[in-house]
Amino acid sequence: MLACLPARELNRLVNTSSTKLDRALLAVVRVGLGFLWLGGAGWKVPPEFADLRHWTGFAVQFPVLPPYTWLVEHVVLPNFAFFGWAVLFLEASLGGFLLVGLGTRFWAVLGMAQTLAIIFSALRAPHEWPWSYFLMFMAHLAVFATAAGRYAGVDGVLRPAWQRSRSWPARTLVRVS
Amino acid sequence: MSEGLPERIEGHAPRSAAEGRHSSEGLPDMSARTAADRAAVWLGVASPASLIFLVLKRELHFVLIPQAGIAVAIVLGLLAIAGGWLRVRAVVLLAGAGFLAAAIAQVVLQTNGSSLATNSNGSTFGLWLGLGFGLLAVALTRADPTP
Repeated sequence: MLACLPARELNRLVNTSSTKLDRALLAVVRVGLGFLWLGGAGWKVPPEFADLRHWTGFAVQFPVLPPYTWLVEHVVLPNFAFFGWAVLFLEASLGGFLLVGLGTRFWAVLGMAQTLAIIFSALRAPHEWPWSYFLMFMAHLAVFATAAGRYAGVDGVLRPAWQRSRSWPARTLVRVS
Repeated sequence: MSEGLPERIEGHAPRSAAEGRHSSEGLPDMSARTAADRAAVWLGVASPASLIFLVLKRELHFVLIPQAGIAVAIVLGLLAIAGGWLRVRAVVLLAGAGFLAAAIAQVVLQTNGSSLATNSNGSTFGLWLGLGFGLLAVALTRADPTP
């Protein structure tokens, strides 16, 4: 029966099945994750990325997953300038897009992937609290599962218009929001 | 619909101020403002609001704002607010493009060790990147008026 409803109406029904407080709290989680990544991007300092190189090296010093250790040792560290820039752009984008709630589900998936990379690098480093990384992963999982950009986010405002459109950017944005 | 033309997400022509509804006095009819217009206003408000990080320190110092960034945050934020308030998508687009330009400038200046980038880092870059793309999405998507 729900399939018979226009997308806009369905979207309205889904969005009204939770309380205002529920939606506000999901927005807080999303914005909080945005600030987490912005803070993370802050210490990726170009062009040397010295601190990031130090932390990435933990994957070799304190191995978590042997194939990842090999990858870091033979691919990432010898080409670190490229990976440094990639991490800066990824984490800054994660922060910015999660903050405004644009393409939120896509960025939540990338956030989980980047969290895994951090886990494989730093999990066994001295003085690390493994649960901090597990919690980080699960927070992204929650943002993905609830499509948190639809609450006080750009996704929520523009999604009905994207759903009505046939253009490929709009269709893509529907999928990633 | 303009399939394959990413310049406008829904393929409609941009709405200009002249196309907007007006009251009998000739002033813009604010009740006709769409959710997208209000989103532009809120994204604009978020920009000067980010100056709170000039005051917050230690654990809550999530974002660095450089001296030159204060002007960026205020001017582009006000531009986005004006664009949303007056329902002029071109102004919102301009604000979004301005934030993206500021984000790119931050990275270039930081990499080159410019004093203009002092007290800025990837957090500044990410904040402006998000505001820029958010405003561009709002400006390029046409939404129906909502109450």
